[in-house]
Amino acid sequence: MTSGSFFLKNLKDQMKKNIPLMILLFLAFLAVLPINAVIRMEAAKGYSSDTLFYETMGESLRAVSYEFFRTVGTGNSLLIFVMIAAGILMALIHFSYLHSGEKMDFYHSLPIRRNDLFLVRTLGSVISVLIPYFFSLLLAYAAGAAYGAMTFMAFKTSLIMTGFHLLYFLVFYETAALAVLLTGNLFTAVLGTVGLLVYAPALRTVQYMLNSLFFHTLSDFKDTDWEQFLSPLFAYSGIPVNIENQLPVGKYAVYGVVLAVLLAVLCLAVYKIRPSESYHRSIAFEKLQPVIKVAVVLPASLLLAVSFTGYMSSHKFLWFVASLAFCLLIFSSMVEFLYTMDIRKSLKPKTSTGVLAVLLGIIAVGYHVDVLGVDSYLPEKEKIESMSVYINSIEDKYRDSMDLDMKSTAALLKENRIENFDDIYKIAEVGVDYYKDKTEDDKSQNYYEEETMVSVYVGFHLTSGKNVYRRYLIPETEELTASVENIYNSWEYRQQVLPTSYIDFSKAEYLYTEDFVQTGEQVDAKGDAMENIYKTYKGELEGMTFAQASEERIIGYLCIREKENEDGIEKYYRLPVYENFDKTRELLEKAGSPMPVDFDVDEVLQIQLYNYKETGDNGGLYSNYKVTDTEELKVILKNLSCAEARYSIDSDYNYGYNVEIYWKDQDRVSDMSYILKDTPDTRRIMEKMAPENSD
Amino acid sequence: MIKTEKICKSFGEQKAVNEVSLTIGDNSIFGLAGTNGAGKSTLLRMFSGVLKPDSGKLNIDGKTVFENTHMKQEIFFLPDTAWFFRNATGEDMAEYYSMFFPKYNKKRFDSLMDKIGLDKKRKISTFSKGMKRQTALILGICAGTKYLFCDETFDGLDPVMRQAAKSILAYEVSDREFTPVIASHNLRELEDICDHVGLLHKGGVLLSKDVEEMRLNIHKVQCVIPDPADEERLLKELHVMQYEKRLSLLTMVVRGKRQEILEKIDEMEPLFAEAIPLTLEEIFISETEVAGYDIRQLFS
Repeated sequence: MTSGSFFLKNLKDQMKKNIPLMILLFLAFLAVLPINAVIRMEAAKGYSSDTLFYETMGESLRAVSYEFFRTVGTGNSLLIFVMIAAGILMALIHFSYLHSGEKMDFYHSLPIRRNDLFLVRTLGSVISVLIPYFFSLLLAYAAGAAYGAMTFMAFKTSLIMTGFHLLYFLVFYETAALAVLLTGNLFTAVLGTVGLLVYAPALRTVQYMLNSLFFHTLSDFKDTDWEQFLSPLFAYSGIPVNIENQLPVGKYAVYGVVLAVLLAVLCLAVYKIRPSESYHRSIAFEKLQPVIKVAVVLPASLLLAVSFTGYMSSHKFLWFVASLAFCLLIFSSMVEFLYTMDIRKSLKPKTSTGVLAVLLGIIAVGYHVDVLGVDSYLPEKEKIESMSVYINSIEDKYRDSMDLDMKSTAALLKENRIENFDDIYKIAEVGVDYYKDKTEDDKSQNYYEEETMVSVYVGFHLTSGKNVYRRYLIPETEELTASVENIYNSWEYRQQVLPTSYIDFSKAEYLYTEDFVQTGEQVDAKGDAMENIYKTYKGELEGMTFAQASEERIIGYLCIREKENEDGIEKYYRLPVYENFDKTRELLEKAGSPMPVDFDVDEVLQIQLYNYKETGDNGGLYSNYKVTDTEELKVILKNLSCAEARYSIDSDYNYGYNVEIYWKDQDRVSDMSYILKDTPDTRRIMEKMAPENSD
Repeated sequence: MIKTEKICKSFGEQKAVNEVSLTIGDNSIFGLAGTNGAGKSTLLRMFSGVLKPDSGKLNIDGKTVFENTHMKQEIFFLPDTAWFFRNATGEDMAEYYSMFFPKYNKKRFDSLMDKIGLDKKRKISTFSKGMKRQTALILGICAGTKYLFCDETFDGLDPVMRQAAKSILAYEVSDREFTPVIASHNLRELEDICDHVGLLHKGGVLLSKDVEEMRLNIHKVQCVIPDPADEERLLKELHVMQYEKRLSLLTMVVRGKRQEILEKIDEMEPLFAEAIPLTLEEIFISETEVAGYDIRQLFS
């Protein structure tokens, strides 16, 4: 008999044995594909008329078609769950013979190589999933056609997703098979499967948590683009989102194929050397037991110890070490018990426990003393090609006012590079110096009674091509203010952060204004008049000095709504107008949308001032004051600014106070938030605030 | 031919097979005797390619067995607890085995099942323990392999079936190139079927000998010699391995040819003399005592 026909005969026999599983799978697919599709399409018929359309992948779909598209394509999380469960379950069933002495005698005495046993089962399982899946998909197509919801896009997407479903089914199948091969009983095989699937994300989480517990300056930006590839669970779930957003999915295919091949090679290699007598043991390879113990207990202990320490407010390192020791003992004993099923043996000291204690000790001390110099990181200037800076006090003023197109801080630091970086470097020096003697206990300090703290992100773009990011929360000092002022006053920085540099005004459709008295009034200007207003605003904003930006009141907003783009999205920008933007205000007034610097005190019924002051014992004190006196009202109104003014360095705005205006005209609605300037006059009024309650 | 040289197999700290060196010739029925835990099953599993020896050499017909599919097509292993597919009938199992063993004889399987009175279309799971063993044995014999390794196969069979099974094995040995190796903790089960017996103890081989040769060269005789001086002389002249005297009856286990022994006894003019056949167990007792072991303790 040729090896090919022998393999096919075996495969046929395997398929015959898979029939009960195929029936079960068919029922599951029937529920999540055609039945689910019918339910969703029926519901869509009920809640929508034919005029209700959804934008998907650049096409408008009727509600029913949209639901069908999502069921057979990108919006069927139940199908993903069934595929994952089927992969794991089938592997556990197919390779369960490795956990039984009788079955092992049977299979391993047959004249068939272990490789072939593995490959026949694996290929058989893929076909066993494919057949019921295709039947169910055809039924779903039929249902879609019956509802008139079948579209080419749904068909194409369902076929793409079919490829991914089968590929990732194989990945989960092989992952569970590898877990079975490495273990000797079902319990540890299930634990092993879970472990293999979540191990890398768990390690990453431990790293994040340790960094956030011990380091003050590490900007550990989460980058979901590569982190999703730490586990096939995340990658598989990310595919539909990418398809819907018309993002490339090739990387998911490459990742799936590489993982499937790698797992197959690993399974074959492990099976080849797996001792047949390892059934009923917890771990098939005795020599692997201490390695697995270290690999499991180390992150588990760190994870639990970091979580526990997070609740402590002082002596954090001591708590960390104590909880680490406790977790080490508990987890080590648990793992040993799993290996031996003997409580006495599991409590005996082991070399691996000693190794773990040493490793955990090194990690704990290493983080505590910052052995890698994370918080003191400051490369030599010669090694830096450029630097980037994100100063919340400046940039959030603009970025918080945009409802779309928000770039992450990480992306901005990566893109906005400054070659003349002396002042950014100075800030980094101040930051390093500030955190020099800080311990993890200082991280609990989240209120600063006497100091105004400034948050600054710094990016070092080294000549080696490496990018390093840090975040400093440092006191506002003259030295710092001078550095920030220098940075702001340089056009290289300003052109990157001011919204006028990245707004494409040619796309603007309408202008609106918001001010103290109204919200959302459309400016009666089009074409050149509209552009003239914007250009004037641009000139005034870009010409404003750091001192002006810090001290001037924001009296309203010039809002730009862009035309709808090809994705059906209308971008909206809300740009602050300062009280000294006379030219802009003049043009707005001409266009019939005046933006007053002040408004009449007679229009105000009263102003309520609120304050919340942290007391440091995880609590705070509320106080308030109702201003009704005309003179006091005048003082308040004169020093009132829109809330975005709180993002300022070296300014007198007191962002600890909330201001609420009650108008005499009760129909007047303005959702503007306000902030108050700290002057001797306003301070006198604020001193009248009476404590309300405390918590 | 099966040839092992100092093969070892350990499970953790437990040495199951310790430096076993054996040679099992072709076309003979080899009995592997030993107490529970002596290493019989482990040895058979290594012969079958289920287990890989930790060290030493194991060759069957000059080839290694582990992961050698070509060699394994000539080997069928019957473990002490045979496993069958859930809901499978005898016919299903024969069909399955025929996929792996090119010389599988399904006709013979049908005929043997009929002869023994087992329904080949009945689910094996509904069979009694003995019937399952019979089915497994028939499935193994019909595989057409050169080697059949049976682990405690006769345990659980009724006397009639045991005899039938032995006859089938004997027939197969005479009919074709066939070498069954039968492991059992019961020497009595092996004595009337095996040509050659190996005794395993604590993972090692105590001895391995041809049964017929042992039977021809060792005898138990009982006699009454009237003259004590003659009796004394007889004990010196014969190669006596054991003797016991109760009143005037002298019972001896003597090494040598039967005729020569009886002739020497006749010279002493005995009042009574007879040779009694030795059971395999008695032969082993004598042989192992010579080797310094007390087999009664091994099997007690």
